[in-house]
Parts: sequence; structure tokens; C-alpha cells
Amino acid sequence: MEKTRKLIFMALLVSSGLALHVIESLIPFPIAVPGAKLGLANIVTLLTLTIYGFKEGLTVALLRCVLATLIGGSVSSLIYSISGSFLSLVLMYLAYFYTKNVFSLIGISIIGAEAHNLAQISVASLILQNYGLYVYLPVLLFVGLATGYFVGLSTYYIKQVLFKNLQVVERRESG
Amino acid sequence: MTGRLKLTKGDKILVAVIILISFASVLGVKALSSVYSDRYVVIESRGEPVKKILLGPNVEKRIVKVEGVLGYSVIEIGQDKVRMLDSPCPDHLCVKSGAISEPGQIIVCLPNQVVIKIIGDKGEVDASAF
Repeated sequence: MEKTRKLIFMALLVSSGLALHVIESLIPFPIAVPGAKLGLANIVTLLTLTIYGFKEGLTVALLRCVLATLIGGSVSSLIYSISGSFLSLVLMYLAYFYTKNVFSLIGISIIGAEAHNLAQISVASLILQNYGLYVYLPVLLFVGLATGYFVGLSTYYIKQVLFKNLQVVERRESG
Repeated sequence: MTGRLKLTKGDKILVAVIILISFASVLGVKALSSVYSDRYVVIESRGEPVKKILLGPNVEKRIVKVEGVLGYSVIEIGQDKVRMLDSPCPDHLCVKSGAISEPGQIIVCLPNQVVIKIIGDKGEVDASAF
């Protein structure tokens, strides 16, 4: 029973992440730097990570990346998004479970956003053999600060609503 | 866990560190690009560099004479490009090779042992490559 419940809830998380991914691509983003985006789908990754844990978070993030590529994307964008999601998930996991109450959800989300940017730009410059791409890093770091803040705040409120209305999982202490 | 989310001390330190890093890297990138954004004409004679001249769209046209093994090579440095105008060598291959303008390009006059090359920018960032 518990297992089925978890499976269904994770499937819902993947699909809502996918929906956020599509919606995000419809929102025009004013900063014309490659790699700069809102990262709305990170809300779902962060939610899964904080509710279930690392393994489940990784499953949801990778599934979302693959499905998003099927909806609209190229193989190179899949490589970028998978590497970005992976590094950001690992760092968010370390920050959430190993540093007790040092960072709030906002801080963890900012860490995730910056890690995503860093991984993406590193992989891109490896593929293109052009290390001049790091010119974009300062801009991306700044953008990641703002989007990370927004994503962290959204995750916090979504989590409150989830716990209040669904009581999906046992409450876990978080900042 | 109800109510507004408060930033912890760790958050504030994190934000400050990231702002610091991004400003520092802006300055670093600026410093790097000011080193590499200029192009220079380097003229070598008998294996030794004898002249280094800035190349750019606003540089005035001028003629430089460099002594080689056989005599004087006449080099014209114009707006954004360099060419060999005249040379004492028998085959005049260096004159026929025309003008160069991009970093990495080179004109060689083997008989007179004069080499003209352009050094500078290491490849530009191409946003469309993404």
C-alpha cells in the first residue's frame, strides 16, 4: 500500500515537473545568455529530494530530463540538462542532509541553481572545446541567485500545502 | 513549518559569497579579454623578433622596412591587415601571398629570412554555438 502510494506520488511529481518544464519554455526570459533560465522544474526536484531522499530525487530528475527531450529538445540539450540536474541534485542532497539547519530551502535551492549552471557550462565548453564560454559564468551566477531564491520560496510554500492537505509522508524537520 | 520562510545565516553568507565570486570573475574576464582582444603584428628577421606593432581598424597605414639576409623587406601595415609590399628575394612568394589580418596567419619570406605574423585573441566566444 505504502509502496503504491509512493509510486503514484512520484509519477505525479515527474509529470508536474514536465508540465513546469513546458510552461517555462513558453515564458520569455529577458536575459539573452545561453543557459540562463528560470529553472521552474527544479521546484519538483527539490520537493522530491526533501520529501523522499536522494534516490527518488535522482529518479524524478532523470526521468523528467529524458521526457522533456522527447517533447522538445535535442540530444545535446539532453546532455546539458542531465549533467546539470545531476550535479545540482548531488550538491543539494549534501547541503540538505549533511549540514543541519545551516541553509534554509532558499539556500539549498540557490546551491542547486548555481551547480546546474556550473555543470552545464563546463560540459558545453568540453563539447565545444572552447573555454571562452566561461565568460558567461558571472552572468549565470547572478541569474541563478535570483531564480534560486524564487524556486526555494515556491518549494517552501508548496511543501506547506502538501503537508496540510495530503499528508503524503511523515513530517520531516526542515528549515 | 508555517508562516514565512526566514533566511538563515548560512543563506546570507552563501549569497554574499556568490555575489563576490561573480564580481571577481567579471573583473577576471575583463582583465583576460583586455590582454587578448588586441592583435599585434610581429615581424621577425633572421629568427629574432624586431618589431611589434598594434593592428586595428583605426591604425594608420604605414610602411615598415626590415633588414633581412638579402636586403630590405618592405612591409605595409594598413587598416586591419598586413602585406609584403616588396622584397629582395628572387621568387617574390611573400609578396604574392597577399595580405593577412587574423591572429595565427603568417607571411614567410624564406630567402630573406623575414617572417610576419599576427598574434592576439584566442578565438571568440560564439553564442550561436550553444
